[in-house]
Amino acid sequence: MTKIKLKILDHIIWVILVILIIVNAIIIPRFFTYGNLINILYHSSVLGFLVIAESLCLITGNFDLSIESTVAFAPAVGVLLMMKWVPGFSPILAIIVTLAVGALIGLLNGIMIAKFNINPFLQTLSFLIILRGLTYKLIPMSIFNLPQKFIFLGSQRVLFNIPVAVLVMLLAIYLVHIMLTKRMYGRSLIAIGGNERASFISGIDIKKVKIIVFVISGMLAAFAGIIAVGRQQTITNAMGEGLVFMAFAGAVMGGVSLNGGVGSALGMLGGLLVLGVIDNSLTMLGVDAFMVYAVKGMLIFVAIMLDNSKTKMREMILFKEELIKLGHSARDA
Amino acid sequence: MVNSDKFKKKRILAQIRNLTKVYPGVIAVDNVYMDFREGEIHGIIGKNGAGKTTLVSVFSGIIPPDKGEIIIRNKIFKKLSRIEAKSQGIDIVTQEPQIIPMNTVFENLYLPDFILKNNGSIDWEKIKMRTMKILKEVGLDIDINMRMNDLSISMQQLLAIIKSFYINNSPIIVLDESSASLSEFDREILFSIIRRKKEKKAIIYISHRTDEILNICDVVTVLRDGKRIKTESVINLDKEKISSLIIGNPKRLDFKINEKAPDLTKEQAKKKKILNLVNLKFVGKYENISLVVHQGEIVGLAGLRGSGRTEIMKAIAGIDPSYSGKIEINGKEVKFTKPYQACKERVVYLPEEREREGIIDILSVESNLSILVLKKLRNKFGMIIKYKERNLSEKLIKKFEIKCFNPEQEVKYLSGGNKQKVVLGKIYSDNPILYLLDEPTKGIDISTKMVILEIIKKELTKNAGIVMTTSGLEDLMKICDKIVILFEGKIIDEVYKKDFDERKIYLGMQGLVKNYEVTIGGN
Repeated sequence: MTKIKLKILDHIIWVILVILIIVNAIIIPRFFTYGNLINILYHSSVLGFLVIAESLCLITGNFDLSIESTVAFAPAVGVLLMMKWVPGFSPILAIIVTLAVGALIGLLNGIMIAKFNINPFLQTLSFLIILRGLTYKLIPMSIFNLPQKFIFLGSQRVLFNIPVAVLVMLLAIYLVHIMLTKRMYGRSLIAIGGNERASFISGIDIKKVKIIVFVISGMLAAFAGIIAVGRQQTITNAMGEGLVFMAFAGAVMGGVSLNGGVGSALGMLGGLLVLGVIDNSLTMLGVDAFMVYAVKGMLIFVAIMLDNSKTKMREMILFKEELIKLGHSARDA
Repeated sequence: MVNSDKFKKKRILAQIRNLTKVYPGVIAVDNVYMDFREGEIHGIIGKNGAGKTTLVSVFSGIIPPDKGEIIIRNKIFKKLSRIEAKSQGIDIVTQEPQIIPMNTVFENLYLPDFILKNNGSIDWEKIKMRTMKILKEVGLDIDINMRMNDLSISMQQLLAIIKSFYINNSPIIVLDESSASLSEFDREILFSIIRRKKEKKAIIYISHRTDEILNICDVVTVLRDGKRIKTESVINLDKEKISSLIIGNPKRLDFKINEKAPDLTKEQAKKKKILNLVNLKFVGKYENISLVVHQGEIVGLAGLRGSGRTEIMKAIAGIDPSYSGKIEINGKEVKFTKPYQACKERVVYLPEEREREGIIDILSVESNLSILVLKKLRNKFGMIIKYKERNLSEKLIKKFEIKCFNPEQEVKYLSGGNKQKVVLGKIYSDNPILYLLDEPTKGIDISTKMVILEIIKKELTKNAGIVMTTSGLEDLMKICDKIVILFEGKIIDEVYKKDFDERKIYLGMQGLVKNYEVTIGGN
């Protein structure tokens, strides 16, 4: 019984998601249709990659603000290579270059933070601003008519009309799940977030692990950029603005701890989908776009309260269990 | 009995009535009754985990009780907040000095109750004057403009104590192992402060050291497993009585593991050299350290804090690699600059600060135990196999007698001794050839300590050499084959098991070399 209670508490975000879907299905006629549900996933895909990126950084006890600028900057380099700088540049190569730019940004962040002990907030804040500025400079105007191969990932739909972007995002979530539960690297991430000093003494190369997590984060952000470009079939310099806060929200709602050491892939997906469903249903109800933004903010507030009471509830459940056990053992003795 | 009549006349300032506090896994304080009287120093003593700190934390409003009441001057409180407790005159000095490091001495002493001028601004001149007066009265000669973090821990603690006694001048003062971080000299100052100011106060004095309790206290309460075992006037007590009350099972005290093991001094020439240190040196910390550890041998480093014992271990483990000289492991010269390089060569280090450097407290027992050997639990695709990890953790939990409900329980809910067993299990899992154990028995109660020493002697020595330190000499003498005595970074002497003599080793550690040699010559 206690185990079930704890399990439910650990996956409370999924309980909320199910309740949200049921309520919406009742009050909004066209909500619970295949097309709309796919649509929610599709609209969540860009944020999905950012939630994963932010969560991984948070799990190690760091964070990455620069991802939202990388979303625009990395594909901007790729697109300009194809469209302006090198005529006839292969779109596939452009995608690879985009990912490489993301990785490079992450590498710089990681080296500064892990090797030179720069505060992650300051380091990634500076990159957030630098990269956004460079993006404004590089693409003052939106660029249209992008090659099909470049926007394939974000725009194409395959089997059962499912967008490629959704499949790739779900694949990424699955890979993160495997990484966090079954791979050395994922376990090192959690260990470092739990106690960096103890992990260091236990023989984990913490600098390497930290640098790699920022590289992964940068690459995921670049990938989110490619998907975003594909979805809107154009590249704009404002892409991704404000998304990093939503990424934090998704991560925290999914149970990732801001203190590090706690987080699961399933939780990240849950947090992401709750944000997606809220967004979708409010839009369908015709709520004003600014209001939607405010409601999401309130939701983050609720999530924080929830997280707070969750820890307390967890301790309460454990505490009651202990009392029962202690009572029994006292009677036995 | 004349004495007990005397006590009755003293006014009761505060009482604790059937106070209970439950934590997951333990009843930390179990239905405790106590009276604190004016002019009386009330000692509280007990093993680690006996509930001393929890009891006074509840009493002084730091944590809320689950049951019971606190009565202060006939006012009954179901629970106290820290601010209420303070306004009722309860002050507490904790084990670690609670100070603002970047502030000066006088700022710290008067925080937050600064003396104000009529216009409401802080009267620094007056504060400085009074601070100087108080320090003079106590007999301390320090500059009041110094920043707290430029002073020694001992001095910081002493200033925290002075603040309670002179500035807050609270009628009820709790000293929660405050003397532990005091130097010998500062401790004498503490005693003189207590003796001078005890008249109108109820002082609650917690300590691990029986001699201290017997020296300073009027009444002693012994706690064991959260229960009050006895409250007795100090006149009716001596060291043996207190010890047996604390432990409850005095037989365990005489148990010596070392007697069963054979003397290795003759055999060891045949054995493999695991560790060979040649002229290790780190300016200002240690020099000329040459040392050999053979397989199956336990070498103890005996020395006071600052004698270089921890630093030498950290150098070998690659945590503190700025040394000169040579380190050979298994005949091969090595220089580790990172702990993971040492782990690769199967050299493991058990850190002194278990909470900060040993365990990852929000993770499960299992995750903590498997962290060093995850590599070996993978299949050919690099995936960690769950059941192998579970087998490993269950095996270690059994072998090291770790008390937890299941391997998935978070380490933070375990007691100190069990946390230490988790750390031992973790480093054991990698099948090391050299263990560096830095105070493996620190802050652990006596019976768990014996279990841990037994594990070290019987399990850890099987295929490995061990270098270890402890804060007390008894533990080293129980299990070591050789003790190396360090003083101010130099090796004073090496003693083999057959020549162990606590007094001689102790004198060596204090740097009394001459005295030491004379005694040797005398033999």
